[in-house]
Amino acid sequence: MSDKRSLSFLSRSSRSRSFVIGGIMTLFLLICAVISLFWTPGSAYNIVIANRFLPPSGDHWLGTDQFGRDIASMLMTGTQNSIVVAVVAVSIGLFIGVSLGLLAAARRGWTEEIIMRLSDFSFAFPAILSAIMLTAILGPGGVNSILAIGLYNIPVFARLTRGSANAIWTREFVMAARASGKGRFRITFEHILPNILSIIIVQATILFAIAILAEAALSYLGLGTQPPEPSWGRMLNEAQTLMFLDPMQAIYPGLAIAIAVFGLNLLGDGLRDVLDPRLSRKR
Amino acid sequence: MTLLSVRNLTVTLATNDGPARAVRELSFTLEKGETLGIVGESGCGKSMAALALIGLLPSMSQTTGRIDLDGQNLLEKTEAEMCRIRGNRMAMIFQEPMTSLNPVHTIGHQIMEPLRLHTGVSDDEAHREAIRLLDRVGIPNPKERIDNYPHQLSGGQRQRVMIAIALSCKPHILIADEPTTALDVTIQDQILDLIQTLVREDGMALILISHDLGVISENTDKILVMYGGAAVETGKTEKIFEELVHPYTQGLFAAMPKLGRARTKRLVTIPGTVPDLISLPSGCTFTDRCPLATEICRETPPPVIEVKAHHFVACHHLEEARARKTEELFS
Repeated sequence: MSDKRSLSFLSRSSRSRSFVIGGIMTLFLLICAVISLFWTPGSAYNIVIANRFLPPSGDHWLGTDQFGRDIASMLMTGTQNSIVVAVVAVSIGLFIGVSLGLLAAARRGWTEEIIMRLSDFSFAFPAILSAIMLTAILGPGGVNSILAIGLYNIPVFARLTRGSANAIWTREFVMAARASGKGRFRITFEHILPNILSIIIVQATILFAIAILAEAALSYLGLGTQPPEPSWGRMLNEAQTLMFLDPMQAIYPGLAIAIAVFGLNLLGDGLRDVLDPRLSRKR
Repeated sequence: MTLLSVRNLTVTLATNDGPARAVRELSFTLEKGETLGIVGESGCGKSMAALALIGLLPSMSQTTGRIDLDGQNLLEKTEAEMCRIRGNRMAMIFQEPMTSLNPVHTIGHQIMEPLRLHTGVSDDEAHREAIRLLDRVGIPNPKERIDNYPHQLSGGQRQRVMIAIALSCKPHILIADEPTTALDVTIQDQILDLIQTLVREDGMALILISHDLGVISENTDKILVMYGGAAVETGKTEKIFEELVHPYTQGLFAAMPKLGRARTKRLVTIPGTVPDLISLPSGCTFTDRCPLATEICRETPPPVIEVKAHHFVACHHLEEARARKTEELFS
């Protein structure tokens, strides 16, 4: 039985082109991050002024920056950083947001009212502005930028979960489940969550891309990852002043961010097709 | 002791246009092993009455009266207590087998759930019991089908699975709300026969809800005819079919298409439409469509009269209704 299921999952996923391309791009980044834990082509930290602005070569695949650090190594190590920030931030939003959304849908009444008005309230503030505000209060740094991005994800997940959960609650099989004596808590985990999981996964993938972008933005503003930890956003920021001297220094991190965001969005889009075959058939 | 005794059950739904009394002053009893048919057209409150029994009315509603199951009033139970009763002592089958099963779980999983919930059996036992139940409701190869997902089953098979779920904990009362309406005619009889057989084997009481007098007449001991939320005629099935008394019951029976009738003959209809539950007359709910209605019908609720042993009718113009032929009433 499980064989049949995984087979159909594989065949369906190979049919979705965006899933395959997005998956490859995401996998590439993941591999870069994992490899960088053990090995990088050069050093992302060592400052050797004598080696500054070296062009790409066998030693320095993508050349060196104004301090003589190896750009390829910085990019690879930066991948780690981006992924950690995005994973933790999305997880914060996922767990708290989905729980709140499920609670709102299960309890209705004033519980739902409070949760939804709170999330409306937080939507009123532009995400990046509130992240800047938060890091300004708590102080810049990796952990605080994770917190700020994660906090912004909570209402996004809460809204989505509550909306889709409410739709499932009105379905007949939920009524049948209630008629067989299941309580709201049990129904939430047995009937509601499995039926909205695919929507949540897709949303998580897309928010993952947004989180990477947000982390880059915060680091660019100097509020995210602090030196000497390499970060795509800070590399962009530092390259800014050298725009005309060495434009490639800005292009490489920009490209890395683009690959991450584009790949994850494609993956999310593809996942939607793969996880919800009804949707792809309609197209 | 009477298994189920419903007295003066009234359900009021809060709507945007004001309170709607979906069920009014409904009373009946049900003994162990007895089958009761509730019949009436769409919107007459029969499903609402069923949901009230099992305590699953929408939150914007108010229920008064008494529903005594084994002498305990269900309307005074907490939600947690009702959860222990639902599916365990009282189970329900719904109209739509296509959507009444969760698409993401196997049917075996869904049959085992109430068993685990109410009887605390081990997973192995629950699995064996689920196979036995599938076999009982007539699913071929139950050992293999138990791992099927709902979409792999036909409508009739899904309704069989719903019956298996409902029967899993051996409830005392089974409520079947239009269990065959969504199925095609050949399957209808099979499913009704199946329900009948299983109910008889387990000594369960059955409440069968339908708009189809034919279905009700073949499958029940007692009938309750509802109109506009109120019971208009109740009694033993054979007594009622000996003589349909209430003008509404007569109209309902006359409106059934019959095989072999001349093609040129038009179907008999009851003039008018289902009443708006918000603005029903305070007296008899059938007033607006009844050919015999007079002023008293609108103002005063009709008295319930026992026309024969085990046959009750709520009508002001009993003598006239019995004297006239159905064809004269609706033509």
